[in-house]
Amino acid sequence: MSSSKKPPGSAAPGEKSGKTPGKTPPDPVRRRRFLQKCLGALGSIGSLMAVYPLIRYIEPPPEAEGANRVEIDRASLPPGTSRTVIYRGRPTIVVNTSDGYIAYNAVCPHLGCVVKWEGGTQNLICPCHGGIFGTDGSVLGGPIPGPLTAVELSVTDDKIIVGV
Amino acid sequence: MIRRLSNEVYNWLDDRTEISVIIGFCHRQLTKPVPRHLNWLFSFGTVTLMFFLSQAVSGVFLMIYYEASADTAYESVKYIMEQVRFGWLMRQVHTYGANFMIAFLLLHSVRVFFYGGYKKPRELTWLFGVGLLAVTLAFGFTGYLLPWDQLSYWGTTVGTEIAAATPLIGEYLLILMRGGEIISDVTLTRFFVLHVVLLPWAFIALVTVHLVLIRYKGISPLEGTDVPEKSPEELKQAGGKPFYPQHVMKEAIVVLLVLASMIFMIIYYPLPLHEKADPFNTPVGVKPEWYFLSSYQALKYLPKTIGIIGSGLVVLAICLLPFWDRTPARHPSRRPIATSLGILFIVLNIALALLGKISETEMTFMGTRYHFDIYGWPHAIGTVEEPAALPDTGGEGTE
Amino acid sequence: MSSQMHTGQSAGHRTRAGTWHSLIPRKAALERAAYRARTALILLPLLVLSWTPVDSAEAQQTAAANNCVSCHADLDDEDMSLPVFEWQRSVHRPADIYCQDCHGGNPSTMVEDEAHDVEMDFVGLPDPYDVHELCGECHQIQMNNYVPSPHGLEGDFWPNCMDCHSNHEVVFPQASMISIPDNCEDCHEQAIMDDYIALTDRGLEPIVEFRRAAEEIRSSGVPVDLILTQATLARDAYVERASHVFVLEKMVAVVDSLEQIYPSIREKVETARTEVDTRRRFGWMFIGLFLVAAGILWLYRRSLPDA
Repeated sequence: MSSSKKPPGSAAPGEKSGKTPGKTPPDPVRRRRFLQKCLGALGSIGSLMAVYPLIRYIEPPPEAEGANRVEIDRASLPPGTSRTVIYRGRPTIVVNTSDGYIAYNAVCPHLGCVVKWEGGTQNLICPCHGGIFGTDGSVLGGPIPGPLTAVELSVTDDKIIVGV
Repeated sequence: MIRRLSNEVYNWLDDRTEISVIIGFCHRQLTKPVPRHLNWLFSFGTVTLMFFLSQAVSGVFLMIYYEASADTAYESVKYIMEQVRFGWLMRQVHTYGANFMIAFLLLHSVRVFFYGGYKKPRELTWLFGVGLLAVTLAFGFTGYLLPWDQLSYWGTTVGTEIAAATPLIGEYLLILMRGGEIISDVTLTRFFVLHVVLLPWAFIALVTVHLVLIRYKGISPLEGTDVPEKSPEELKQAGGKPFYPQHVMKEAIVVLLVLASMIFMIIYYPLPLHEKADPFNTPVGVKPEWYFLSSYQALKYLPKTIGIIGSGLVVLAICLLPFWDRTPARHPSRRPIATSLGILFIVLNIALALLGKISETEMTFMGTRYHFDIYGWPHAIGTVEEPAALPDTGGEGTE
Repeated sequence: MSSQMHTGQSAGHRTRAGTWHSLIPRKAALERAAYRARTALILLPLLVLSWTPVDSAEAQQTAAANNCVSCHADLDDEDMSLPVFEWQRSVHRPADIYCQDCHGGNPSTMVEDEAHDVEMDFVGLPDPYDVHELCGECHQIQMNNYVPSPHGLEGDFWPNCMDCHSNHEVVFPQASMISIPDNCEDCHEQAIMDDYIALTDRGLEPIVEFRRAAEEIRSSGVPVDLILTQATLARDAYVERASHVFVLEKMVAVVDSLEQIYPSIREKVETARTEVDTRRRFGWMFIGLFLVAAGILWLYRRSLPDA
């Protein structure tokens, strides 16, 4: 690198390859600078192309979100009890209340704890910060910013079907 | 602007860490001239090292989804291949990378052998290199089991069985490797720990010493050991070019070409995941990976104990090569015996591997279909399929 | 030259058996000669390797199970030895269906009379009227369809299993077996055979095609399990409802219903293929990048001053 004092010796192979446009006589230093820029550009493109699959790889794969439909035997859920299932990758609470079946996304809108069914008061409560929800999902108490999200639910003769 | 900022950072760091000393040292090391005879073959070591890094990266990424247990290993690998985005690429890069790494490591050792690079004063470099070869083969052997498919399960069964032939401690060694009588969950976890914890650190330790030794003693000259070695200045005068950029460029070009060919292989000849391992159902023609084929085949011809002692001796001979081959000459044409023995050894290995490859397969040749038995000898199918028929017909053939 | 094996019920049968057997001696003699020649070749390496340990226990066990095989292979009468070679190449060999499973007898003795003892249920040639029951022990679906078919009870069990699938060779089922010069000429005309062949192709070719495509795609990691499962289901449905039925109308109904589901499988195959192509394009982008970078590095290296 340090000794580029012999231009004739280094210029000769350059002329033979004839890959650089015009510029007689070809200047090895200029050409090297040009090639360095090319390499830099290619390197950045290459690393972007390599990083893309890596990032996509660590994203959760599409099928990992869980079942789109969960079936529960009606017999296994007597009146006044609840069951929490994973539906579309999220905990979902299904309750057999006196007014019929209800299903909510069990994640509390406050700080993400999972709500529980309290048979005594007929309420859904969040164990973390004292949130209380009614059977319609509305907030009855606690520092909760909003109601629970309802989940589609249908009932057949012997099955409760969460989802469509 | 950027330059000014980086200068500031550099000065700030230098005030606190004397980084300039380190950088100066690295620069001196990088620009140290290398002998004139360095050609493209001298880049195989770097290619191997690059593959180690690639294996480390892809391995870490695979571990994100891999679950090392007999119940889940296969499913998790299938999940990586089929569900995870670019999971197929990650696994193919890892499996093909393993094969390429071993291939280039073998090429590197062959190159060092023929250029006499192991001779005084570089015996230690060679020893650490042999250690690296052993660690890499262990990587291959342990990693082969991890997908837990039929091939890997039974390949590992056959592979570990070889250890059982070791005199006296064979059975004990086998139990130790497998963690039980057969390959099981226990085997999988211990292979996994070896593969992702112990072997990587062993490799890093060994390769560090290997590289430091190379930098310290310089690339081996072609003159004999009886000629005093040139100092860097003398090398420069004799036409030696600096390691960076001249030789590094060569290595970078080779690395890029090898990577390009690996990607070609990945997209056109992807390595499949076979059926899930079934401990009660041995598939026909179980064989280890290609890099173990020659020793596997050699062991078939020899009684077990002799075979294992013999291969132990071969390994020992390779380790101690610089200590028993102390002739001064380095140039391959000036030590014809060593060169021809080396060629013989390579040809023998390739021949054994090919025999291993064709053994227990069928092939049509000149209109006749042949079955190759476990020794690789051809038998026309339908006539000599039953081993019991051989002794009877032997008498007929001699008359 | 016995045609007993085929127990000809008609002249047609006998002719066929005749052409069959005219081939046999040549084939067997060739195999025998090749065997002897090779023995000499094999002997040399064997001498070298005579100290090789052989897994003798296993070898002896196979030999014990195959006394029929080891004796009959060496018999000079081609009719008696050829079945061994045919069977060894057949699908029954790897499936562990041995001689005694159809012919009875005692395979574990070397004494001729004991081996062929009638007490041991030895039957030289199974009755042609019983053949479908012998095969049907394993191939139940096929037998269940065959018995009520025009070839079964109605046709007095003619043709039976062996007439089309052969006996020891066990010919793999394929549409070309429905053919005039070989199998069906005594009763049927070309036109109706063509209908059957067209129908079989229509029902089964797509399945073959799906399988082949799925196996090709599989190793690339694109999921094909669903394609394979559906192809297998379709094939099973065909075998269960259409094979050996030999009534065109019934088969047409089955094939028509199968053709309802083929487009959805075909679509899955196409999606998988597209995915493979996308991957290849992605790979080529990298290859191109690497090659260009290597080229530039090479130019760069050439432009460096000779130190």
